Amino acid sequence: MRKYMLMILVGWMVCAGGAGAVDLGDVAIHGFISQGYLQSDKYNYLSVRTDEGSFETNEMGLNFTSQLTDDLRVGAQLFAMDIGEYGNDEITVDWAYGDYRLHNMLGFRAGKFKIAHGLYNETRDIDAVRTYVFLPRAIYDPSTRDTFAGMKGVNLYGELPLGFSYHASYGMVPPDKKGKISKDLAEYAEYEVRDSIGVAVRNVVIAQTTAAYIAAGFPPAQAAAMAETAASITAAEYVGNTSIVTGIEDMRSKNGKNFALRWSPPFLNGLRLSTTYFGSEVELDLNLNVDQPALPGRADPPAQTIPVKIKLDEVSSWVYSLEYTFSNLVLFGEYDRIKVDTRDAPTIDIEGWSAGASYRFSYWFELGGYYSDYCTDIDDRGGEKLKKRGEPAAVRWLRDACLSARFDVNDYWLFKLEGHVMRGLDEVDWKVSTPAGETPDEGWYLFAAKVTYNF
Amino acid sequence: MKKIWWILLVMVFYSQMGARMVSAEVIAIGNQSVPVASLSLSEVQDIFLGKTVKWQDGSKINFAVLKGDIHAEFLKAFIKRTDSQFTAYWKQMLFTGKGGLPKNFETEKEMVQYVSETPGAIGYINKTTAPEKTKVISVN
Repeated sequence: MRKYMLMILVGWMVCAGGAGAVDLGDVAIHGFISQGYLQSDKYNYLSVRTDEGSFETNEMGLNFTSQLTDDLRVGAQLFAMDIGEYGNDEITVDWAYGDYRLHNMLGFRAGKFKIAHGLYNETRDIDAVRTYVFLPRAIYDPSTRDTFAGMKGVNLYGELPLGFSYHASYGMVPPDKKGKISKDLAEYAEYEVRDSIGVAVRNVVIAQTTAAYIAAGFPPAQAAAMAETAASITAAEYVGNTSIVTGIEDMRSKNGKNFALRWSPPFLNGLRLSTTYFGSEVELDLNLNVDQPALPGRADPPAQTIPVKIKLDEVSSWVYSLEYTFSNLVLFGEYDRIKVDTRDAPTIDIEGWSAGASYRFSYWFELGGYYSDYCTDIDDRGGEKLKKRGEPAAVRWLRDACLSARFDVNDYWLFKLEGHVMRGLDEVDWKVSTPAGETPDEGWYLFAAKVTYNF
Repeated sequence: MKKIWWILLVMVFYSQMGARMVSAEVIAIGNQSVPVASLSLSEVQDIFLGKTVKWQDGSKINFAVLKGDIHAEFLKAFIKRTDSQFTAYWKQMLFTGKGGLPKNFETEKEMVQYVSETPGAIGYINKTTAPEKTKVISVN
C-alpha cells in the first residue's frame, strides 16, 4: 500500500511536471510529499541520528474529495510520515468524513477529523502552508503528531455573528501503542504511579511464590506466610528497585472532547484570537519486568513479566493563541498547558509558550523566526525529580530559538532552510555522546532542510 | 519597548484604514439570482474564505477567482490578504478536508460567463470590463 501511494505521488510529480490537481469527474485528488534532512552538532534529536545527519524525516499525503450535493461533501486523506522511530511510513487514514453543512452557523461531520489544538495543529502535516520546517515544539511536539492529529466521532462547527467561529467534537483518539504518547504515559506510570504499581506487583509475586512453595510440598498456610516474608519489602521500594516497562500491551481512550472558539474581530482586520481544549481518558496495559524475590534454597531467581493496568483520569490541554497579519508580516503567540490527572499520583503539569514572526519579501522568499519554551513538569522546573532518577535536570526543558528561510520555486515546489539554537535536553538522546558520569551540555544546534511538492 | 508599541499601533491604524478603502479598480459581480445588491467588506471576506457558504435565502454560494493582477488587486482591496496568504489558506482547507480549492479562471471573459450562467455565483472583474448578464454588487 505504501509502495502504491509513493508511486502515485512520484508518478504525478514526474508526468504532470508541476500541474495542478487531478479531477476524475466529481472526485478531486490532491497530494503532497516532503523530504527533510536534519543535522545537529552533538546529540540525536527525536530519535533521529541527527549527529551524523539524517534523511529520516518525511511525510506524504493523498486525498480524495467529492461534493455529492450542495450541502454534502465526503472525502478522505491517506497519510504516512517518518521521524526517527515514530510513524515509520505506515499509511494511516489522516481524516475521512462526511460533512453536511446545514447553515452558515451549523455544519455536522462524522468520521475521523483533525483535532483543533492551537492555531496550527490541524495543518501541521502540510509543510506547504507554513514558514517553518518545525512548528514551535512548545505547542506542537513533532513526535506526538501521529497520535494527536485526529479523532474519530462527531463534530459540530460553524460561523457565528461578530467574527466568531466554533468547532466542537466528541469521540475517541485512536490509540497508538507504538506512538510517543503511549511511551510517555508508560514512563510516567512507571515513575509517578509507582506505589500503586508496587502493590499490584507485590500481590502477583506473593500469589506466584505461594504457588511455588505449595508445589514444593509446603502446606498452603505456611507457603503463604513464607511468600509474604519473601516479599516483605515495601511496594514502593520493590518496584523502585526492580521494575522496567518492557512492553505496552494495549492502550485505550474514551470520552475524547475537543473544542475551539476562534474570533476574528470585524473592527480589527488581520487579528485572530483562539482558545482550544482537548481532553481524553486513557487506559494503558503495561508489562513490567520484575525480579522475583529470592526463595529459600533457590538462588538467582528468574525475572518475570507482570501485567499492570494504569488508568489516567484525564489527559487535557488548553491552548490560547493570537495571530496578527499585517500585509506580508505575520505575528503570533501561543500558550499551552497540558495536564495528566490520575487518582494515584500528583498531576503532571506541562507548560509551553512560543512567539514569532514571519515576513514574505517576494513571491519566492519568506523569512521567519520564533522562540519556544517547553517545560515537561512545572512543579519541577529545576529538574530536581530527574536528578534523583540520575538524569540531567535539563531533560526537563527545551528552549528553542529558530530562524527559517522559505523559498517557493513555483506554486507546487518549495524548499526551506532552518537553524535552531537549543537549550535543554527534552527528546534529546544525550546518553550516546556523553561519557559516563559527566553532565551533558544543555546547549546545542540543529539544522533542518526540507523540500516539498504539492498538487 | 515604547517604540515597539508605537510601531504596532501605527501598523494597526494603517491596516484598519486599508480595510475601509474598497478598490477603485475591481468590482464584484453576481448572478442575477443572487438575493443581495450590496455586501459589507467582511461579508465578502467570509464568502471568499469559505466561511459563509449560503446566501440569506439558503441557496448555495458559488464563488470564483481570477489569476493575475486583477486577482492580486481584489485580494489586497477586499480580502486583505496577499496572494501567498490566500493560496496557503485554501491549501489548509484542502488538506484538512474542510473545502476544495476555489474555481479559478484565466480571463475575465470566462469569469463573466461563469457568473452569468451559474445560480448563486459571485466573482469580480476590472471595472472597465463589461459585466454582461450579471449584476454589479456594491461593497461597502
